[in-house]
Amino acid sequence: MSEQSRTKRKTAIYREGIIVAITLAILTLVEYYAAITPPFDSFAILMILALLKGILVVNYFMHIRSVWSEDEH
Amino acid sequence: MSLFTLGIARGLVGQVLGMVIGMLLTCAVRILLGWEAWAAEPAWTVGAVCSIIGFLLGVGSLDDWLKWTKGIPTPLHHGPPVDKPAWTRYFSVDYNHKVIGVQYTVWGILLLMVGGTVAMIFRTELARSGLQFLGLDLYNSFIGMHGMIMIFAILLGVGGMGNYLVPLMIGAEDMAFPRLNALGFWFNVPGSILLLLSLFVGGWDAGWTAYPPLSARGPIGYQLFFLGVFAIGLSSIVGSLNLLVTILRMRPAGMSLFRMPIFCWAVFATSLLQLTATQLIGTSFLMVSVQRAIGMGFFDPRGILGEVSPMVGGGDPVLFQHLFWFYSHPAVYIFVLPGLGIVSELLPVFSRKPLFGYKWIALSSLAIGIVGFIVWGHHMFVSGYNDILRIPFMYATLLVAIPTGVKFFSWLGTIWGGKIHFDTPMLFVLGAISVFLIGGLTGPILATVPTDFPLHDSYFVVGHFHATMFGGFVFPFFAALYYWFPKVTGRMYNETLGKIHFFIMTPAFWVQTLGQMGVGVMGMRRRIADYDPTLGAGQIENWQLAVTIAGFAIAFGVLLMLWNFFQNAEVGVAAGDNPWRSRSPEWQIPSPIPEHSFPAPLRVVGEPYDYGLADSGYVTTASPGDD
Amino acid sequence: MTATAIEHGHEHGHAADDHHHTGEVDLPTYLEYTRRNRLGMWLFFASEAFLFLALLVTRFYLWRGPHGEVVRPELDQFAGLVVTAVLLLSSYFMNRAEVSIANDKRTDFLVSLLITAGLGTAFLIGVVVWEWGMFPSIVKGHLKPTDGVFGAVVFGMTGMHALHVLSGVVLILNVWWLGRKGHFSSERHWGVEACAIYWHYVDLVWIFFYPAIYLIGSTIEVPH
Repeated sequence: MSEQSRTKRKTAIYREGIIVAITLAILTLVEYYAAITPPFDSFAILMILALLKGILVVNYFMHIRSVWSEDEH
Repeated sequence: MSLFTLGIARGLVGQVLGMVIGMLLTCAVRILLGWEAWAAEPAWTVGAVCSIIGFLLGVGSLDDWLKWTKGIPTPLHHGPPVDKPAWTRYFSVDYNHKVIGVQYTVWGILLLMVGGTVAMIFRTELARSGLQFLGLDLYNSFIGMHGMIMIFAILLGVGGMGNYLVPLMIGAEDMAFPRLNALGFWFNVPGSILLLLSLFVGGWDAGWTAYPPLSARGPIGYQLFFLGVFAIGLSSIVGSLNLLVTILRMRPAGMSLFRMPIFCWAVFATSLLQLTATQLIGTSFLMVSVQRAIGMGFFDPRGILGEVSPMVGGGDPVLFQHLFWFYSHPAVYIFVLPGLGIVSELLPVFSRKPLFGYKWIALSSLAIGIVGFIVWGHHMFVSGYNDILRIPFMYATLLVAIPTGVKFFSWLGTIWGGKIHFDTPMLFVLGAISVFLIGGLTGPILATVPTDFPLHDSYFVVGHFHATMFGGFVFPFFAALYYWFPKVTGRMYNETLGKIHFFIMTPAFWVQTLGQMGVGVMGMRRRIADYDPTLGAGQIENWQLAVTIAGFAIAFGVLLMLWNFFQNAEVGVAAGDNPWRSRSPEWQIPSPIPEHSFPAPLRVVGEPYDYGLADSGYVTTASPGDD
Repeated sequence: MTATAIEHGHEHGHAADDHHHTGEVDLPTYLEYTRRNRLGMWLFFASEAFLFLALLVTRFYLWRGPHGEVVRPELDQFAGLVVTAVLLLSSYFMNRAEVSIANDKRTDFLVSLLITAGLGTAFLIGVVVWEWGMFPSIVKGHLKPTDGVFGAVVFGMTGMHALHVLSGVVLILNVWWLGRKGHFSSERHWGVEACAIYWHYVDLVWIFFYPAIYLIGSTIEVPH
């Protein structure tokens, strides 16, 4: 891997973290306002939002795919 | 050599110290808060928590991890301890899975004897109606104690077989996490000590299920009982995690999941259940524990204003039953699946025929495990939960019969037309099948709602349960002990004594289980110290006496087995490397097994169960250069 | 090791060609160890998930109104939102720490860890002082553990979660201390990864606990 592409990849990973964090923040706010705005305060909507957040964390922060992928990381 | 060379002696001192420190700590906090210094229940509870930690620190099971927190590397030590006699490793922390397997098994057998002794005591009481020598509270503590100690013993036996056999069967150097493996065993020692100690602080008289509200109001013994169960539960969780990683990541090239020895499949399914479901018994007991300790009313039906339900804010004891049985039903599959795996493992060896339907047996273990998660409600048909839940739980329970039936028919297919050798392990396997059949056939009667109503909480349930436990665990476990004894010790047990043991124990057990069912149908309730002698047209006392005598016969048989092992472990006839002519990897290496089991990585060259097929092998232990 | 060499030496005539014959065990690579550790860690998460699921089930089983509808006690919504945001932010910095050590950026790695630990502590203080009202002189709490099922479940869920946060903070500080002594490299940092995924897991649990405790269901007045 050339030095340039490595730097590019690094920046991409850092940026990924920021994007995920911002998405999580937005979803949390959506969740909060949904809860105080009927009829969006239903169990299903709030749990789906939580599930979305959970998938983001499990996929991007916890790298669940590294459990079964045979790459070098 | 001082006594404290032995880890277990240091651990016991650590446990006592931990208990004292925990009690002093409680007193100190109470004084700081301006309360009365001594309160028995918090002091014993905190003391018991600290005593578990004290034991683990004392025995040295946490040493390596404490070093890791300081960044000190800890290379794994192989072989017996330096400048100590080799036998001391069995009494101290040792990271070799073969040592840990033996530790598990021996501790399990010890608990089996304690639990059996307790059973003999209250069986003697039950031989005649009226109260002879046990008080009501003590009787109730004893039946719960018998149940829980036997559960511990079975979990230890399961752990012992899994730890000793799985790495050998898949040709792994050791378990995936040797330190965690040792920790998993050592949790059991302080756990079982706390359980026994609970008898001396009031006991616990609600049976092993510890249903609130009784358990939320009973004596302090409950707190120690809960903590003992936590310790064993932690052992179950870390042990099963370890086995799963070992099976998934440490098989040699060429050994696909469907080419493993079948016992590994049973352990795999059991471990999945153990890993996940165990949390639920912990959670439910923790909730009762905090309800007792700080009044968090999870199961207290009195609402916020102190009024009984349906006042909003009141707890619900039925929730406890849901959480509790979500573990405790899968738990019986945790107990029996490895035993059924032993049956499948041994039948081809002694029938000299391939295992019939390998894939079906493997998948049936998994299927029993998965279905096992959705049947807990059949313990609660009369609990007063929502009526519409009964039917799905009934059908889900009846579904278990299908994978279990698959196992039975493939066992029949395996022995059909085989050249059967009736050595002691094979006798116990056949005994297991006969006993498990009794347990299995009485299952649907209890799973069906209308027939369960009159039989619920009767001795019929006790008879059914003992048949499943003996058929699914005790008989196969004894078969395994006889079968692998020559591998572990390098010596042969006495075959005649083994056969006598079998021919005493099997008919005795039939009498016991059918007798228990019989008195149940006559109207004998479980968990009751006394009964009406006119039940069963006045015949119930004779039946009870028969059950008691059968129980003593079983106990005698077990002692005979232990004497047989004790006699022959050191001085018996040399057994040779492969007395049973098995194809499994552990029999292709010397007995007893050297420190590093395999001289070179295993190579899989054939199918595991092609018995009777000329010139076929399963694995070779030689390295490629030697061909 | 030497004992093994003697044990196995005689079984193989030609000893020199590969290293099994010297009696050395064929030690797996760091990568293989990491894979086992990672699988073990995830199995541990799976196990813990059942504990937290049991608590969630308890919440939805017990918090019912007079007609069986899902209810919740009135808690401090602002407190809930703030501690949630704090935990979420800490997860971002934990991720940043892991990415930094993988790219050999030591200062960034250590600073990010410290920020994570600080935010974790802030979360703990938020729960213990603000929500529980353990120090009534600062903030008066809304519920006591003894307030029927509402107190029991709120304290049970947040308490079990707080216990995990506490252990996570201790773990992070330990990793930070080792990192400062130069223990991790871009190639070998399983310790950091384990700590990071554990921390994210604690965050993940809160992602489900937050709506369950604070948002779902109609509010009900809890008499004191």
